[in-house]
Amino acid sequence: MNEQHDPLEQLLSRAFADDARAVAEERRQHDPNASARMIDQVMRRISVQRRRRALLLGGFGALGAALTLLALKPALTALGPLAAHGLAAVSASIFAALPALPVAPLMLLLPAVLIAVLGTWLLALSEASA
Amino acid sequence: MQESDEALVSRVLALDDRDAFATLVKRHQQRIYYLLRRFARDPALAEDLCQNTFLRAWERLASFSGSGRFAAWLGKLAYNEFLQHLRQRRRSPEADPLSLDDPSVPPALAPGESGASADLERLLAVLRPDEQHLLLLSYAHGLTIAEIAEVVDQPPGTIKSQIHRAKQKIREHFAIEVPA
Repeated sequence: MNEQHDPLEQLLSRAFADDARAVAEERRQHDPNASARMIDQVMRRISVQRRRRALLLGGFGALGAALTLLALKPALTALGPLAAHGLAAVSASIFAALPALPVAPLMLLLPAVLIAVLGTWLLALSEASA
Repeated sequence: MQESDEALVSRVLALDDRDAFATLVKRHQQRIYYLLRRFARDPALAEDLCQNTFLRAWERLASFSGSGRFAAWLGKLAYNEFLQHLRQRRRSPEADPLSLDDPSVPPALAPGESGASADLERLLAVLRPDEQHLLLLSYAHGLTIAEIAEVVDQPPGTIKSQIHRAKQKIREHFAIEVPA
């Protein structure tokens, strides 16, 4: 059967095409910016979701870091205050850059949180011993 | 020349290129909206489901193998969003809007009335919702039998015969002749 010459095929193709046009027109009349708004909202929700994921990842990172620190505490006390200040500065820079990071390098959060907690810990240790 | 969907997907995955993803949304949103508008029969709900579909696409983009068309993959996500909405709705005490006795479904043409004058609503009214969905995926979204089978998770042979039966129903109901 040649579908191109089938009246039903022609009818369905035309009916769907007309309906799609009508729906698009209805949507445009209801909200002329519907299309742009859709794109904007999708991209916004992606950003929100990305931040949530970063926070969650950061939380796990902090937990991991705290546990690591407990295990490494004796070795850390051997490091001097200079190293502590350096680590604290690096961690602060990484945290400042976090909101601009895309999804793929989110894994940076884990070492970043580790460095941050480590630096703060060392800073506190060096100040206490001064 | 317009960059292909697959190339845009690659850019999103490799470079985390948000502009590339926005281009994909812009390119496909009207078609996905139409699909969901027809599935859900509610403009506001279709907008919500459409947004959810693209959000899901962002989350699962890495699972797009590139072996099929991106439009078909998106169609499957949209269909799943719609099914998920239906499941949630069925758990609530409210009635399913797509049940066969739904009064919002327009009446069918009287048998023998000219099919050429029938609008889509009246043509589809003689079909069950699942049959309407198959025709929608085929004619409105332009999917092949194999792609529809992938979307609704059924064998291609089943889809082929279901579509054939659906068309047969319309043909008989509106007395549309079979070409020689």
